[in-house]
Amino acid sequence: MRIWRNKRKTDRSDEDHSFQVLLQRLTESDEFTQFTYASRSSTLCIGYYTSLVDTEILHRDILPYLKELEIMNALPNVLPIEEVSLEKDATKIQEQLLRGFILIFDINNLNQMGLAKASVERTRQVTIPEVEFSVVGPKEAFVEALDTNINLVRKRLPLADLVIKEMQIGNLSKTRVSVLYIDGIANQENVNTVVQRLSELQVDQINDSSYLTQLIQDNQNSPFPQLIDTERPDRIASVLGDGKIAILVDGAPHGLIGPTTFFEFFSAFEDYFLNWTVASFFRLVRFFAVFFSILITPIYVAVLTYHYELIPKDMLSTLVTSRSAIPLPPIMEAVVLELTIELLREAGARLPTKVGQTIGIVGGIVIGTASVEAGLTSNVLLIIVALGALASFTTPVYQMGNTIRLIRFPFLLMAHYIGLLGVAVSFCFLLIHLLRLSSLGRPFLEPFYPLRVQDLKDSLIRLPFSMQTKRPIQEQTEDTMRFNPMKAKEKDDI
Amino acid sequence: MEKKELQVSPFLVFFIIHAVQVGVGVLGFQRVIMKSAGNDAWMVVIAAGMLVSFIIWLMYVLLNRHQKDIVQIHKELFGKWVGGVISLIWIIYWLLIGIVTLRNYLEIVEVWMFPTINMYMFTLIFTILVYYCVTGGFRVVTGLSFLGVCIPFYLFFTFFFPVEFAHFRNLLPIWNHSIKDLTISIKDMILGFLGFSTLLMYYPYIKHPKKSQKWAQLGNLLTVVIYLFILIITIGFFSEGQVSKQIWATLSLWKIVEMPFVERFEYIGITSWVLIILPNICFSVWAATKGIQKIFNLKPKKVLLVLLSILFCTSVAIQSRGEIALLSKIMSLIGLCLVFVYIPLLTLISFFISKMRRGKLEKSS
Amino acid sequence: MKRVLNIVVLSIIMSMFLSGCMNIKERILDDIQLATAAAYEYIDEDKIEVTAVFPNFQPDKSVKNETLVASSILSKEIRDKHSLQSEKPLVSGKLEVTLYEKKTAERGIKDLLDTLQRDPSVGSNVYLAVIDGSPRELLSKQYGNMDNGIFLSNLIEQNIESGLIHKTNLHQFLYKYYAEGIDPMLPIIGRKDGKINLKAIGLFDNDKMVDHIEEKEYFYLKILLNRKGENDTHAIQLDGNTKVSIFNIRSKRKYQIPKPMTNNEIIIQVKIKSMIREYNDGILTKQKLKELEQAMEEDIKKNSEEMIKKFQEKKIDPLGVGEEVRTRTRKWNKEKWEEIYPDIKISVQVTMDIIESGIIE
Repeated sequence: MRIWRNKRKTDRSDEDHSFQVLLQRLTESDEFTQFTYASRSSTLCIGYYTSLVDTEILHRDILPYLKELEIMNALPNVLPIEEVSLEKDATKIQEQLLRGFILIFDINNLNQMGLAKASVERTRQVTIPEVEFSVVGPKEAFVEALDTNINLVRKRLPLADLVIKEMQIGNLSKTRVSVLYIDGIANQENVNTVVQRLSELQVDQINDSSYLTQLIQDNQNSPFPQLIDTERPDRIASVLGDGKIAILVDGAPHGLIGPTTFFEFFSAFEDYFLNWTVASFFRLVRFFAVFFSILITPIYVAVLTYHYELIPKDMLSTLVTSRSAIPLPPIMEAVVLELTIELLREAGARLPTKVGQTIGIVGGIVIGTASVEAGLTSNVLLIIVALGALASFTTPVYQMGNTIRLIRFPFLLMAHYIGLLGVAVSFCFLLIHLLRLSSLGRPFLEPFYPLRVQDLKDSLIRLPFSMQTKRPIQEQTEDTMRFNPMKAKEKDDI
Repeated sequence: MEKKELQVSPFLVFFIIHAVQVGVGVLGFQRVIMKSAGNDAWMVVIAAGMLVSFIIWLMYVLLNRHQKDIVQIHKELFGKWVGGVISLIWIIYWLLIGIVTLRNYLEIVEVWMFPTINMYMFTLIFTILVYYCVTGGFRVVTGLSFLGVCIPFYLFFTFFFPVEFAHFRNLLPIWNHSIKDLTISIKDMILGFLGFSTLLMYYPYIKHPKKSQKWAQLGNLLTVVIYLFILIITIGFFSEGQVSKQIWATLSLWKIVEMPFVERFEYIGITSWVLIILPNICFSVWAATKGIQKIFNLKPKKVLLVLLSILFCTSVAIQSRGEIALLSKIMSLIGLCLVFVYIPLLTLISFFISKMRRGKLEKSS
Repeated sequence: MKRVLNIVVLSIIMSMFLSGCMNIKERILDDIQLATAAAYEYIDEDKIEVTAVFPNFQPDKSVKNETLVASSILSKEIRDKHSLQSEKPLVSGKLEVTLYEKKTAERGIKDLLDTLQRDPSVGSNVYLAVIDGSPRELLSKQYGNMDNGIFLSNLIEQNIESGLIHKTNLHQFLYKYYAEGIDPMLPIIGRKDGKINLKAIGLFDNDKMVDHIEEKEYFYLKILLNRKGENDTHAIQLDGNTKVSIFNIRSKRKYQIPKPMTNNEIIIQVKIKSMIREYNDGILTKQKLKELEQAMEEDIKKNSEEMIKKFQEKKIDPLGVGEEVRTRTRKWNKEKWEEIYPDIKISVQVTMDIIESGIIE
């Protein structure tokens, strides 16, 4: 089917004829408006897609001036609009029309087609970030319009070196995708990797930036995302300065950042707005939460199924009495509870916000209490699972949070099969998997492996800005220094 | 030398050497060396460490001259056939290290945790883990040994719990045993250090390999320190008669650990030990795979699969403690011969052959 | 695509196999009977009777003490017999206390210790104690809202922590049992007015209990036993009506063995820094403090030397004098030491230093 259509496209040799074909195809769609308009010297035909065109521009800036028009060639000089051009190629004309241009041509002379831009931009206003909300700091988030988004970034980086490479991806969607990087800081090798991967993509539609994450990350089978997505222009601007590369997609309110490391997924951008001591503490808490969330339920299952020896004598009676009336083995109990939490989360995510909140509260309290009362789950496990779920929600990057929740289940099963050893084996498997991962060809577990002491300053902890003089080694930046550390230390008044 | 992307920084040699040396041996070396050296066993650890340090130096002398791995050195010195056969012995030895480590660990699991565990399944799980790691290449294997040293390091602190009950007077009197007794123990102690010979295989994978010697020596030093630390606590904590009864004295040390949220730390210790032995096995299997691949020019994945099936079958086939001990003995004998006899010999041979060749070259010119 | 398929197939096969084939016996916490105490008693030449104690956790958070009694020739055999009487399998992983009937302890507990050492699920923190009276009777009563294993374990633990008895557990017993030059001791538990109490400390020669010391002698034993001590308390009555009780803040013990392995005198030096807890004779002056210190020193010296004499007569060495000698001699000879030990003169030198006297003058 596709081959045939391509053939038909390229076969058009006779322009006049092809234009007729084009017009015919355009008018097939009822949305395409076409009318004639008499100018001083000739009869003009005007056509456009109603939905894509701002009629105010048409009436204010185009139609009055067309009266004066004498020959088609003078069109760009007559219209007070920046983007006016003359085109002959039918395919190009079609493309422009679909972008909100107005087609103007002389009925008697089909050789010169005029195109004037009168596109209407229907997008949201820039609003406050919802996924990566921060109490302090800037409150603007990306919207679905690429130009607005680039504008948001550019405003923060008024640099000529900020290069934006644009390309079109998707046979059907023809999505505009921009690659942003700062020339002279970003490693050209990384840029080439991104550009190459993007240009080689074979896909029909790109509806969001997350499509790209899945399509261009190094290991597409890994549950771990290898590119950070963010809705904060300030975050993008900040990492561009680190030598990273950002990808913005038209129609997507999230940008992508790469190359990144595992630990960056656990740094909220708010960390930079807080004092470094507080920020470091929060980061450590988040890391603890991740391990807690992954390991706590499996450990509970393992200990209760196989390793009763590990339980201290003072804790015995609490655990035994909480479980004594429960008919299910620990693994069933845990899986049921974990699934319940997942169900609640999923239901909350699918429903409108307000209903979702109610579901969360009602489900959590009612189901939790009822199942304990009914003797189906032990209250100790209920606490553990709820804490684990809570801990998994602390991950600042949503995609990573999902992964953390997913990988608990293999851990759980292994804990049931071979007890604590199963947890250890799964943990090893996880470590090897993380070791094998890379982000745009750069190691994923950096700065721990390979160990780069210098990069530790912004990983598990965040040291003060005055110590962040060097850009991370991870990106292999061309300009390694952020600022002059000697000058930074010279402060006259402190 | 290997391609630059495949190489690792020299300081990682510290972790590799340490990770390969520390295996299951740490869990039960005390009984063997205290049998004849008694409370002077700590001297044995230091002496063995120094010997190993000397051999590491010798290896670097050899490798620095050739800038190649041992398989290629053999090829260069002895020709394709003889060299290949000698390399094969090394490869068998490395694979044996992997098998012995795995089997010893499985025995601990069997005795301490799950007496009825299905060995086939459990070995299979380990084999899959090793496969997944080794197919990731040298960087991943190194990374695992790096993490395998760093993450379980918290275990080190748990050894402070037994200090409460330790009688460090037991270390006295020093020089209670004759040199002869100590020498016998040194031989047994060296087993705890074996495995570092994989250096012969991964040398070309190190960036600036000449600079890495100090890291290798430091890695060896860390092993010595850890052995020494555990041994001194063992000597203080157990009486001599008691140690002679403990097959896994280190695990028995953990039995005393009591924390508010967990008791009986030996189970956690055994569990955490997975992360310590895994790099160990992965490294020996990796070295063996690389060796065979270099000799016969085969695809690494296929070689790995064959080696892992050997590993699997042998581990499963060995049944009792007696057989495990026998295999360990064979392995240690080969190891001692290769490391302490063959390597000095090879260094000498390499020295003379290169001198001879240079002589010939000068004559001809 | 093929790789993904492989992974999926592999994980499905794995999980199928794992569930069936790992073949590990599950011991789910609420499906097992946790024995917390076991009491051993020889009922004839080689038959032992074991009383096992386990908690029965009630839904209202109270705990009922339950016991099982069975007899056989080996203790693991008995565990199987216990299981025959029980609704859930009995496991020994949470054993807190093992008790030995007094006659059994006098006969020797070597054979009974083997199972504790061999079984990996038994910890080293298990308390050992000798029981005066019938174990079956003593253990079948409930003494608090807990089973007797936990109760006894808490009882012993609390007394060790507050410094009333020496540190003791399975590991320490085995250490002293296997070590050359030191003999083990175990607390003796008895019943008094329906309550359990620690009545004495049993002294062992190897694995046989040969003697015991009474409560009032604990103090002398404790300060001589450890290189550093604290937390001990002691009270004496001076001539007349003066009574004083002291609290030992820090004590240091040092051996002086000029010529080890000979009949030469061995001096044990003890330095005590203490605090007065109670005093009934008016105002404490410096003079009086001096007197008190001297009286204390004499009391400790006299009593501890007597105690050591007793040990030497029984040819036991709970203080570890032998160990001190052993660590000072090369080529230690156990037989020779045992020969000379009863005749060595061992003297105690005490320096008492009262540094505080409470919050009143």
